[in-house]
Amino acid sequence: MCGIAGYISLYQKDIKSNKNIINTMLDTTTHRGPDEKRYILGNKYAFGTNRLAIQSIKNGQQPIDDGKFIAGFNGEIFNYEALKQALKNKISIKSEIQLILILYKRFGPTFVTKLKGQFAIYIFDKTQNKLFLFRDRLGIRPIFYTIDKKNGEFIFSSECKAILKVSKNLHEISKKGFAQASMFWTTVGDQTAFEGINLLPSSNFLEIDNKLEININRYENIFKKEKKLTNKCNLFELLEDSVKSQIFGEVGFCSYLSGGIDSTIIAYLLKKITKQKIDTFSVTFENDEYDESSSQKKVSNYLNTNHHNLRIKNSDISNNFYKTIQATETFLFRTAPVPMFLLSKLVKENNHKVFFSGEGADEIFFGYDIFFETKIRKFWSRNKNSNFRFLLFKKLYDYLPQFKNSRYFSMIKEFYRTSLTVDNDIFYSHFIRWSNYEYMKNFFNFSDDKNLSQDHLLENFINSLPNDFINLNLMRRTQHIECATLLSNYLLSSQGDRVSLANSVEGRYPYLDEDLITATKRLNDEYLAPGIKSKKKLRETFKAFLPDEILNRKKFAFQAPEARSFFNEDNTPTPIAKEYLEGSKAIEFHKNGNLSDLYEKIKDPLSSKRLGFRENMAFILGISEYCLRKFKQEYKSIR
Amino acid sequence: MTQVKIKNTIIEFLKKGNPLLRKQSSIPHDKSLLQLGLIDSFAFLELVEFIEKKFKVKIRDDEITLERFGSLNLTSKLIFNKILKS
Repeated sequence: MCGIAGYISLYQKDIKSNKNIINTMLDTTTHRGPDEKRYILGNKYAFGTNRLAIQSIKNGQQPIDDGKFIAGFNGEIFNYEALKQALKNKISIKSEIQLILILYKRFGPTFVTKLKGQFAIYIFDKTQNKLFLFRDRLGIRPIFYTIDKKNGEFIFSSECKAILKVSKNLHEISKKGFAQASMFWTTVGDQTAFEGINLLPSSNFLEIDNKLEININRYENIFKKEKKLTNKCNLFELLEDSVKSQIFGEVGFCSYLSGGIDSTIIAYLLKKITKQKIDTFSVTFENDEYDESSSQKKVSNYLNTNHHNLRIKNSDISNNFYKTIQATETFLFRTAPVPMFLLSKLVKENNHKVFFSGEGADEIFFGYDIFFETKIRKFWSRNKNSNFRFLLFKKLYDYLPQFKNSRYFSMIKEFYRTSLTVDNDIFYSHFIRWSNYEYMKNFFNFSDDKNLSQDHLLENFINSLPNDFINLNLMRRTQHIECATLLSNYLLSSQGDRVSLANSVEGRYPYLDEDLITATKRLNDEYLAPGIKSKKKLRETFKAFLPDEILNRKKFAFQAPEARSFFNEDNTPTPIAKEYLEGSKAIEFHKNGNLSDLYEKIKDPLSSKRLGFRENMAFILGISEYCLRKFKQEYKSIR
Repeated sequence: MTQVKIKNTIIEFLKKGNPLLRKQSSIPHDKSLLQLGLIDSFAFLELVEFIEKKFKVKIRDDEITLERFGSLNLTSKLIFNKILKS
């Protein structure tokens, strides 16, 4: 894995100044590729790469320049060998980046549809002064960019901090980005936390010409509606092939282990394929409420792995929160990126560069509650007076203790009953979740600006989705929304790429293999998860290979301690919280009266036990926004 | 006990341990505090228990509906009627 950076200018510049720009950008993101720093300079451009050498360690130097084109990339091409074999001049291809350039020259920008893997690529055509940027289908690897027409510049990088360091503009914290995070839990489309800095959306490529005219095109829609459905599919083989294709590189690997079935299956396959004892890594929490250690032990014993565990204390969350924001560079709605940041640090300390992860299984195989909650609501709404249909909620949420309380259940029933009337909303699955945006307005000033109204944000989001979205059925639509928001812009970034590369380790995500996704899309969603049976087909596929108590373990959502971890046992705020409580008073955007009421509630040992999801989320969003302001101060531009 | 008195007793209870309500200058009497996000599900369940203890009435599960608990006015009316009947 690597960090990429580039700069183009409309005007002739002193080469020294271009060198200074690219050096600054690469030095700001050394963590992404500490093995080697290289760049290519011109009068009007500079392109570079920080390399984390995984594959073709000797021959894979980047960027390359063949006289006409300059190319560099961050990522892994998992069908590299197959693509190489398919080309006649394979002998001369010694690295992935060479292959990429050859394919580009032969097929033009649509060559990208041939690639499988996780990638962020740049190709600069020197003769036409044209730059292309490409991003993978699921958004595993990032590209951020800014266009500065006034100064005639275009800058891109794997991380925002490199852009902040060299841009001539201010890039204030984006209210729109913050509003989106408060509603969708993540920014959406090309939005980032900074004004004037954009994210190239997944499955898209960007073309920019010598007048800085920009064109962004979707090259593929992996979630498009399948015309023909089948019930035939060898999931075991597909998943095994995916893992095989990702055991790649010359540096070894390890695996994350949450104790759930997703990562267990990956660890099992890694062991089966390599026949080696593997290293596994997990997080546990001091706080019992979030602790999964017994399941993790079971799995590591069963698979006989070298298990490493990181035990997280409440104070670790607060102490490492700012460091995590430095890595994620965006608003957070929960604290889980902090343990993931610390876990990748442990991976690094154990001399690993590559870890496997079970991320993506909940989206691809229908694991999340939201899929089934949506189904039950739909089912119930067809017979609103039924006394039985809503009882399915009890079954779905039987792992939550409060659902055993019949009063609680009556209350929840009422809550859902009010939503039954809204039937044909295209965001039927998510509108209850998103309506919490109204609650966030208690704490943040979203009401003054009509661009931040719920309708406006929804319209932005619809525009970022492919046209075909509307043709999907309810379950597939829910899946698409989950992938476009939470998966791409949170799990793979704030809990994935950004926090792991901050520690110079890269993730592999076999559930996100293109062939596997395409095959599961041809399967009926009822076949993959009939009724409210989450990931039923995936469980069945591994029934003969893994013990029942692991495969059918009770549900457990990965969760870390939230707002309360920013207060000590004596109810005083931790250093970062103290700074925030003071600092937020100066931010007109934060509604201080209500926020300080919320702090009181969190501080109080009695009422903090009753903190709801929304209150935790409001606090974490607020403190993350504050930390981003601090971050921006730290990465002031040198120009 | 009058309906207004009942309502004020409930408000006093809700304010305790909920700073979000303590400083709220106007608590709506005709809207669901739960749906407005001013109280959460835990606080709501505590409220039901409090009502039973304080006013010595019994609340059945099937009475937990928006029609009866959808606002402070509706809740105090329910309690008032229950006290009358007993």
